Amino acid sequence: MSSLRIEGACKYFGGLKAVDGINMTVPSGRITGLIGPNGAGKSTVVNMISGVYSLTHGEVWLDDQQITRLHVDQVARCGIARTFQNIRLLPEESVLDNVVIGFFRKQQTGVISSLLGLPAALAETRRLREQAWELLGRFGIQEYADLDAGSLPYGHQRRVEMARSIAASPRIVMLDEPVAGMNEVESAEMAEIFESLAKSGMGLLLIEHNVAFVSRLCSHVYVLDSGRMIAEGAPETVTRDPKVIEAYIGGKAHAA
Amino acid sequence: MMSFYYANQPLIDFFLLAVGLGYSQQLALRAGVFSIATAGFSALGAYATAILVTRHGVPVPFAIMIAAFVGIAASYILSVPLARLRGAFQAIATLAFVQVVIALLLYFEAFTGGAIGISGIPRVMNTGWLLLAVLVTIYVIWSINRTSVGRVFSALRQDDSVAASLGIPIKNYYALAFVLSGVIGAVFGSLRSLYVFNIEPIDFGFHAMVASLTVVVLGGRNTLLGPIAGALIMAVLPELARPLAENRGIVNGAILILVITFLPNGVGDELVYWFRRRMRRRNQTTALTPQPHKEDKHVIATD
Amino acid sequence: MLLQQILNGTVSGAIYALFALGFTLIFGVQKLLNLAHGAIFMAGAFIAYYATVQGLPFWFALLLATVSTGVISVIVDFVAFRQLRKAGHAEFAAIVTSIGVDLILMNIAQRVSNTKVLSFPFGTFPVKFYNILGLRTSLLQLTILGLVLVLVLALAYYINRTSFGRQVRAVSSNENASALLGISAPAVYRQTFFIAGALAGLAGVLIGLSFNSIHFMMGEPFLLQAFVVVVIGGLGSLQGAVIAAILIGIIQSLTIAYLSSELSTAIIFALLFVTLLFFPNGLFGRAGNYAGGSRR
Repeated sequence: MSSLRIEGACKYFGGLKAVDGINMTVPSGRITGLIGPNGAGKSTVVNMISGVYSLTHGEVWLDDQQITRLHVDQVARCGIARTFQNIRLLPEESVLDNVVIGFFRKQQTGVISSLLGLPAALAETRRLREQAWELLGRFGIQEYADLDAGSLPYGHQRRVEMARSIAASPRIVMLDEPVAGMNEVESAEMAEIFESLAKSGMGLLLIEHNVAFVSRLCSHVYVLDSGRMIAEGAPETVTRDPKVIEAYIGGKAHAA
Repeated sequence: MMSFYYANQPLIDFFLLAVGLGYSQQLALRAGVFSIATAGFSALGAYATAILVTRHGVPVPFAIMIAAFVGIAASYILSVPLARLRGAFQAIATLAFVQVVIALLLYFEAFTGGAIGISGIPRVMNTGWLLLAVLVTIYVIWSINRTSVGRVFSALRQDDSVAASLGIPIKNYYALAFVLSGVIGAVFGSLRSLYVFNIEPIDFGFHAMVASLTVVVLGGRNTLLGPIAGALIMAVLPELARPLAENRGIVNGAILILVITFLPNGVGDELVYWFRRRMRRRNQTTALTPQPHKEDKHVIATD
Repeated sequence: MLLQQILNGTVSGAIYALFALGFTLIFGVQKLLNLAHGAIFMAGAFIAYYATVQGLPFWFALLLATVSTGVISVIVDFVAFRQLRKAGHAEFAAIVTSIGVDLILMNIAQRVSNTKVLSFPFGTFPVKFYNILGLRTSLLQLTILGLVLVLVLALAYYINRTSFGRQVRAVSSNENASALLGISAPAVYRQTFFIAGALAGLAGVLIGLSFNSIHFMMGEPFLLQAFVVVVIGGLGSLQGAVIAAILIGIIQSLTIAYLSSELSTAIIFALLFVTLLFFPNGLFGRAGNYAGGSRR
């Protein structure tokens, strides 16, 4: 069974220790949670794995391949997909085309056949558009397929981004606050999708500060506070951990 | 029809050349490469062709092919440093490239004819060949637009970190866009040299750069129609504004400012977008006929 | 001979610095390339020329040219950049609009001068030569060096020691936040464009005087030169611009003297290329000009 592991990972920005020596495993076929108060360094972790940030210390492994120093696109081609905390769609493209571009890794026809407009390339485009259409159906946003992605409401943009991230069937997908701004019903819909993805063998890393949502879905939860891993384990034990409670209350007091 | 053609033949031929160079400029911009190197590539293509044909007796088709390879080689080499830069810095670097090309053309006088340039180039191009070249270019770009490379170029332009996060090797695709721009620029430079009898460095300077940029700005940066519309405006405008011939700079300058400020997508692109919106609206109203009013509102609100 | 060339190069470099300072100042505050800067430079030379021909004293013509080009530059901002800042799709659009302004100003100058090359009447500036330590230098050269030194120091003081500098930095980092601090961004833009234009206009007069040649296309090579200067110095860095300008002036005068003027242009632009390749932020720049794909 494949898994994503990070070992002793640190990221310092000058004197600031944004992430300080954390260990984490994201196994395939499961939903793993990464929670923590605002500013705990959760998104930094995602950026370290996906290749946006270099690691000050530590290593990232996908199965037995070291990916610590790979660039963003190489990490993605290894089969690690992500969404962004501050949704990043291609604003001028239609919703459908935003998902079609997500299939890039799976494309079979080459650059030459694209330049020459060979039948194979055109057929592939047709096929990908159909697949993207189905994926939109899965996320319940088919009716918006033709609209500019930038014009959709926030919650729908999140769905488009998630559809894009799983289009190329990655081995691991990291979802950064996937249900932020969604109501209970919508969150439940998403939860169902996440579970079916995990069942199909994908490894999911949910980055959230909504503890309840994570507890319901995840088999294993990591808790990050001020760049350190303060607890890990099954959701029910972690949420009762006094350090976690303190971090959350303390964090909230700070934020308020 | 034919009489119109005969009366305006030079205008039509220069229009076709402008369309070709416009596509070279457009390809770079639509992939988010901030290049203004088209004039430099067309200089390389033109000089390669002129030198080969007039001094070495190379048959014209081979000379055009070699010019294309010169364009590919130059743009590929240039794409390496360019990939490390962004935005305004790419514009400056490509501008510097054009200046270096021109300075070298002036310096190697024995080879390039210096400031006088090269004359006595056989005039073998005519409207038919130029049209063919433009049509081939359009076919390639049309193919790009409908397939994977076009999707990648659009993604690069809008957000290249997203493109990278989807596994797209962005430097390679930036290089591809730049090389395509280079080869189209070089080929049309080559065709131009086979049309105008003589070429000199000043043909490819700041003004040439502004000209192909203008074509794309007026026409549009993303659609196939863009450079055609832009080149058409640039060809027709001086004819319409003959009394203003002395003030051409003022007219061109004012148009550039007005278009980019109030019609930032360019005339051609705006037309295509308008047409697409119309089509979409029609599709939706036919699919969901009961409440055409509501659908109309919906589309307007989301555009 | 060598020292003489270095001296001459330093003088032209000092003038390039005036030109490049304005260019880099505008880039520093709003990250836009102003391609009309060359035309403003040309306008400075034109205004001073016509004022002198009208019989006005040279010092007054110089002052008039400087102030007028400052005003022209503010108008350029108003016509070419203000709308774009509002719309927020500025980087590409600014290149286009400023080329538009460039074409307009050049066209006007071409009409005014009938496409002729103009030169200041003989004796506009006293022609005096001195021999200092075996180096031949003119009163004009010494005046230029002195003037540029004073202006650069004054600008440095203005940017680093007064509240204007803080306002510029605030506006360039975040226009909206600076509005909350009570800083009027439009006023800051007006001031930067005025200073930039005035410096360019002054440089135009000095170049027109040194080469005794004024024509409507004179701005173009200087604009291209300014690119080299500001890239090598680091776009947005003022001291970088001054050092790089003088460096370029010296390199240029040496390569022209010992090689050829075409090769000199090629070498200078090749230098720009090498700098971009190995020091994408210039020798003195700090701004994060990182290219996508690699880890930060």
